[in-house]
Amino acid sequence: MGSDQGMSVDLTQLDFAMNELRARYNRRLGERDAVLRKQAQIVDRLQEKRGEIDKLQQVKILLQESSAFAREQARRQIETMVSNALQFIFGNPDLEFRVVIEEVRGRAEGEFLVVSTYGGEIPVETRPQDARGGGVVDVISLSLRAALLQANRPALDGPMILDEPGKHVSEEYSRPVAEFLKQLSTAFGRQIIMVTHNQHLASSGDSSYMVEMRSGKSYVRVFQGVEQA
Amino acid sequence: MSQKTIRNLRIENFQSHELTEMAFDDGLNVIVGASDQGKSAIIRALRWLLFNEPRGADFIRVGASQCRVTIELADGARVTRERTPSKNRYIVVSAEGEEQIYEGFGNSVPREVSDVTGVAKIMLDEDTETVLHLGTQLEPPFLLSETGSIKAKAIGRLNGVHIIDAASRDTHRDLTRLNSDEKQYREQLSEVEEELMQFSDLAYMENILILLEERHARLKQLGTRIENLRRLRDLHHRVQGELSEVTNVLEKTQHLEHAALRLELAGAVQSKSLRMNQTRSRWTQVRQTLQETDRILHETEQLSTAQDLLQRQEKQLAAYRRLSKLSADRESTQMQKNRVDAVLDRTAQLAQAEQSVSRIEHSGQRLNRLHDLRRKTGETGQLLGKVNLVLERTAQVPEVGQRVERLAAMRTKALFLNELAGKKREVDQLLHSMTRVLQALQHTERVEFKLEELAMLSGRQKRLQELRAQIVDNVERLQKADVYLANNAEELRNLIAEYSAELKNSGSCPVCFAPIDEHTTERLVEEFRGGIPE
Repeated sequence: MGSDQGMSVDLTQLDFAMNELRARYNRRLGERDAVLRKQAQIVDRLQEKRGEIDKLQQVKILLQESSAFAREQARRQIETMVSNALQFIFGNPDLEFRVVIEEVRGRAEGEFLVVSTYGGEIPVETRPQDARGGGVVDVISLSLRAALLQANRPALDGPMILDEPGKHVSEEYSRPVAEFLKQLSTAFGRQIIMVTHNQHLASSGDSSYMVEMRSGKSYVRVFQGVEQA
Repeated sequence: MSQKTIRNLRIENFQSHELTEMAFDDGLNVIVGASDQGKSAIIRALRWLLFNEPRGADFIRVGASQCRVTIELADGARVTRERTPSKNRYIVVSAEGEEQIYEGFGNSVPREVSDVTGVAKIMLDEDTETVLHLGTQLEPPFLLSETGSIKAKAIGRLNGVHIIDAASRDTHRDLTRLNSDEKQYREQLSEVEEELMQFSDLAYMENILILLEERHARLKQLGTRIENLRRLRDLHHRVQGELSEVTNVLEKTQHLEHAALRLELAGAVQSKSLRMNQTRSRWTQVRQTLQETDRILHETEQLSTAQDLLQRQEKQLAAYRRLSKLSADRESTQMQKNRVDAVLDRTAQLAQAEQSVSRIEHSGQRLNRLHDLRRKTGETGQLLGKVNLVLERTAQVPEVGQRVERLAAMRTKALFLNELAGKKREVDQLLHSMTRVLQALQHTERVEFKLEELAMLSGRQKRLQELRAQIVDNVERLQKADVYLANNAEELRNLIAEYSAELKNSGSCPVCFAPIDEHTTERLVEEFRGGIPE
């Protein structure tokens, strides 16, 4: 009978231990489930982030492509406009303006070049500010400004005000410069106010003023023309 | 022209200009003059107004205390930049005539001024700005001397590449952020995975647990089984104890049957002995008696002879008695023989008389019986008489019963018939009324038919009346239309006649002014006339 008693006691203890074990297992299961839920959550977020990253990478590629394309368009536009200006002003179809844009260390670097054959067969490509006369540089500078003003997005309003444009252009080309500006204002409908010391250009304007100084005071009058003056 | 253009410029006390007013064309405006005459001062005045450059007050004309530059734009808006010892400000008068004064703008140009003039500096990037609208004499060649990246950016301004680039930069920034986020999440994930590793033993634990629980359940089962067994064992023990006790008892009581048998036997023996005792005592008595008897017998050895003597004496006695009696009898008989002899005269013999007596007695009994019978017959006869009386009286009862039954049947039948007759009368009445109704209905049907016909006819009549009204209306309208048409035709004829006269007069086409001849005119008029009757 003594052993029976001991056995039933053992059984009670065993029951208790089993319950304890089951409870502990369930507790740990719950803990693990919580961790699993957390994991699922993190995985979800990770997926989401990865999706966003994919999307953004594609967007980035698209933007880069668009940028490259737009830059290329702009480059060609500028090349064409400046080349046209050079050819128009200097009457030389040989003269070409070239814009080179290169990626240097992940950044776009631009360089402006003038190409001409100088009447020969081999085209010579030079940086205008280093190897070209002031007239060419002047014209490039002027036409670049006009081109950028015109082609800017969003469109830029307002007049173009120039102090001695084409100052370094030799006398024979100064009239084409004025003509170029006139065509520019007509073609693009932009008002141009220009100051020049070259009286020959006065007649090119839709309106012309003469500035004179007398006893320290500037007087402005409507210009009547070189011949008449 | 939607673009902003400067219509008028007024310069007061700016450098060499004391008061200069100019009106500008929309297109190319040329300002000429020899060097150092004040041409560039005009540009500078415009630059001061448009870009608020240069700073300070050095440009105020010597001797003056204030200067002012005003432009009027094509749309009527006016911008004034003025500087006095006390004021340094922009005055903007919008196209609608609203005046706004701006002060304290520092180095910059108020946004509203730029909006009105349409002129502003252009940002090439975050640090570099450039002026596209205004080129001064002393600046280096535009853009050519800038760095390669500025050149690229300036080109990029075209087509809005800079916007895309900005978006690209933003995207890059977002990407960097997202990548770091992702990295963070990855780290979190690995942490969580590490955390999960701590739970790797759970599956094993579960298996163990299941096994344990199975074993546990089994153990419990076994426990209950043990309990059962133990109970059974206890029971067994108990039963065995009882059994041994019973066996003991049985063992102890094994001789009982034998004893009982013996007891029975003993009983039997006892009773036998008792009987024997009785028998012995009887035997003793009998022996005594026998002895007595023997003695008596001995004593009475002569008894048989005595008896014989006695018997003979008795017989003698009896004979004596019989003889005495017979003698007495003979006397009485003698007396009786006298009497009987008288009787024997009539009765031949006594036996016969006796037989006759018995027969008479028998007959008397029979007579009694017959008397009884007669009495019973008399009673029965009375009863019969009564019965016959009753029968006589009730001879006609069954007949009457039958008759009553027949009468009752007839009565019910009569009632039934009566009812039927009543019903028949009702039915007849109903039939009669139905017939009348049917007769009446025959008329109704005809009337309904007639009514329908009438309704149809009245509908037709209404429709006919409507049609007639329409016809009348149409005729009226036709007459009016005829009048109107006739009027129109008349008017048209007049107009065409007028037109043809005019055409002939003018001699040229009213549309293209080409000269036309008589024939063409005729043709035109003919076309106009169309189908209108003359």
